[in-house]
Amino acid sequence: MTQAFEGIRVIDFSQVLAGPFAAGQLALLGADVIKIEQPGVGDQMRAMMSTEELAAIKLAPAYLGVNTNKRAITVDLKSAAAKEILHRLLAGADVVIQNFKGGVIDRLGYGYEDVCAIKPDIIYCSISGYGQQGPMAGKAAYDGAIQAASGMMSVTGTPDSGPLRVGYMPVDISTGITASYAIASALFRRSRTGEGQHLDVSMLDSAMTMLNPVISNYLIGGMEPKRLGNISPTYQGSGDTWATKDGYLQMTVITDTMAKKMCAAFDRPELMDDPRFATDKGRVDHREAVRAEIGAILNTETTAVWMQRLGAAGVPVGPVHDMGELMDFPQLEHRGILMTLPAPQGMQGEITVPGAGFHASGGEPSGKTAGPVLGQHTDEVLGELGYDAAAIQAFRDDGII
Amino acid sequence: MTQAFEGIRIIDFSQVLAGPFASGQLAMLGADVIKVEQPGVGDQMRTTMANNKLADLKLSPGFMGVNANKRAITVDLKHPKAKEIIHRLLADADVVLENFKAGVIERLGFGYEAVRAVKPDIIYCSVSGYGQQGPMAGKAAYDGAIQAVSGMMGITGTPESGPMRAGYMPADISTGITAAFAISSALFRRTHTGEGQYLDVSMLDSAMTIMSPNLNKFLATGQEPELVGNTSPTFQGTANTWPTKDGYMQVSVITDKMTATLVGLLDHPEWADDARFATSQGRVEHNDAVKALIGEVLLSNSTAHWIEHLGERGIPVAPVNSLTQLMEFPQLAHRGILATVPAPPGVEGEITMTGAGFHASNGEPKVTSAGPRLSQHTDEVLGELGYDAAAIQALRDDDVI
Repeated sequence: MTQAFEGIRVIDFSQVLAGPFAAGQLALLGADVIKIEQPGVGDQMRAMMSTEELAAIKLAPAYLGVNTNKRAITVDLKSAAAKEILHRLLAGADVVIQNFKGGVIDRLGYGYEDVCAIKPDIIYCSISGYGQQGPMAGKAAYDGAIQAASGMMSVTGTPDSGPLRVGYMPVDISTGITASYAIASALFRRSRTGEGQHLDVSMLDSAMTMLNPVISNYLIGGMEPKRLGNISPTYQGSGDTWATKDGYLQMTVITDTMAKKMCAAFDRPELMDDPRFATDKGRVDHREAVRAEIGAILNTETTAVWMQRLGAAGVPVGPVHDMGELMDFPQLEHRGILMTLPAPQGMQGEITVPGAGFHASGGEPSGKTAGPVLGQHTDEVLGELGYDAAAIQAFRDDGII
Repeated sequence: MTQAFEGIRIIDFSQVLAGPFASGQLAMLGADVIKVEQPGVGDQMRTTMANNKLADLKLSPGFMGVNANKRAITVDLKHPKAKEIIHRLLADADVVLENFKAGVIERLGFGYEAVRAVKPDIIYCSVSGYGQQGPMAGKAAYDGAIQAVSGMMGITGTPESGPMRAGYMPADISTGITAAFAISSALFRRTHTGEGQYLDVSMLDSAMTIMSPNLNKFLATGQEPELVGNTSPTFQGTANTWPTKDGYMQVSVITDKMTATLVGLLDHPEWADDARFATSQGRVEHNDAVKALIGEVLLSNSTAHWIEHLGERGIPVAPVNSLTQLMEFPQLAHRGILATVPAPPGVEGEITMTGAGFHASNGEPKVTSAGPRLSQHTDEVLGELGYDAAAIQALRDDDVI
């Protein structure tokens, strides 16, 4: 079955997480993503969050996870000879992705206007921490900075813990999905208008879209959020995380109907005669009491027992998993979110990485190859651009590729 | 300028956050989203997390934030007369979106196969907690359960706090963006294949894509991540959140070069030669010592001072903003991430909410109208479908709409 982006060529200058994730999502749907890296150096993610062994071969797990299905070439963008290689590449490109700091790619000669001169209908996606304009344009930002600046940290944690970041990278990855959505919408638009677009994706904007309900409550409802720890953002005492006999359980009971189902599953139907349990307002106003009462009940049995009883009653519950427990979660084998692929050159065996967040009846997103080693496809891609072996060798001798 | 999805019609049966966020993203790019709700009841988000006045109007802030630019109609899907209305709607539809529990929409007669019989190239997107197959298919899941099950909570918090959820809804919103990407890719695919698609989007899958870097590290090493609070996922002591004289700030220094710049700016150039600071390995192994030394210096001055002093030399720093501070963050004025539109009927003045996470050089995403009142556009849309005033009144008298 044809995948959505078969025949679409993406030239990807980006590194670290947000940009490579965006290009990776398109690659899972068939796009030919050509990743361009600095000779000898490469994407800084190749050596981060890694074991020493994998860092040494520039194949960090986190790098591998967002660079599947891509081809990697090295070109020194500062060299004069790079210009002709890039012109040939861009002439056949549909999409450019870049996340240099503001102004850098323009100085290198591959800004939006430059690329438009070569390929007028190019879809050019710039990803940055704070966007292309304004006082913060061009400022460095990793995920943590945006978790802080966006207010994400201010609403996470407890009064005791102070502001807390989450242990994953919600900003980087949500920015990556936002960029892949922006690019897909631009490709669709091009098919109807014939026009390209410059897309300006910022991590701060993406983080704020992730905070959408919280920001709406603040701006429209005038509610400054408190750090409620594990209490549901609805502020109901029946939405929280509790210790069970052998672990933790998360439960979100936020409607009266669900409260009734929960009390029945507890074998305590009489709790529904208590307005603190029976109404939305009661569950908010008497948050602590409701939470404590539920906690005393949940503490009497194991997580598995409660998952069974409450789950069967239709109450939204989830065990708090660590990574190992997640891998053992029976649901995973029915999804295909984890893809097992042959390991890249220099590594033994196979690697397993998460794929796309959805399935499609035709043209399913699929992993084919692991994240490439630095420069793995340089000769192949340059060959396709019409360079013969001697010309490629000359580039290599000159340190250009 | 033409927006990407002008002329594209989306029939949206979904409620709460993930589904409405997805169709809301497409609505900001011009799609005609027709939100179908139960007469008198409506989307449960309309009354969740709201003050009494807005709950009475069924216009909670969280609802308005993700339902801009849509038209809202009410149809009782269980009523035998609903079928004709929905069939007329589907005849001109490009996309159907639903997030009923598994099996419900099939029983109502509007499942994928039934819709395909009416509109063969339909793009049909089902959003659910755990996906359409497997032992958890059809299980209720709000954002909190997925934060727990996906391992998100298991890597957030400190040893003292235990597993902690984020104070916003990362699972819901990332699922919404994933669905928007899946739908836009399917629309693009339809332009060259003529085929529709069934899209199965799950919150668990989307949450796992957000966790990609952490999951990949776990899959490669088998090591369970610890609860490290505000330490960067790179585990370097130079990346953390520290109290200053008047607040908190976040710093993410993770390369040798940046560390050398940082210690210079902190007036401790001698640390550049200290093995604990000089290498990535040193910064990881001596995380606590490095963190404490930096913390002592940062405590001596204000957040604004450090942001200026460190930020202008390219160090990734950010203030830990509350939502109030975020609204005063000067960068926002240059982005347009916040959109202000006239409030819906029944609410005075204007409302402000977050828009799309990106800008486009033409065909810019735009918020044009606030989240609609329940049934606000029923007469208008039924009129477009060819029902005259008498027919609409008859449907109303029969409690169909």
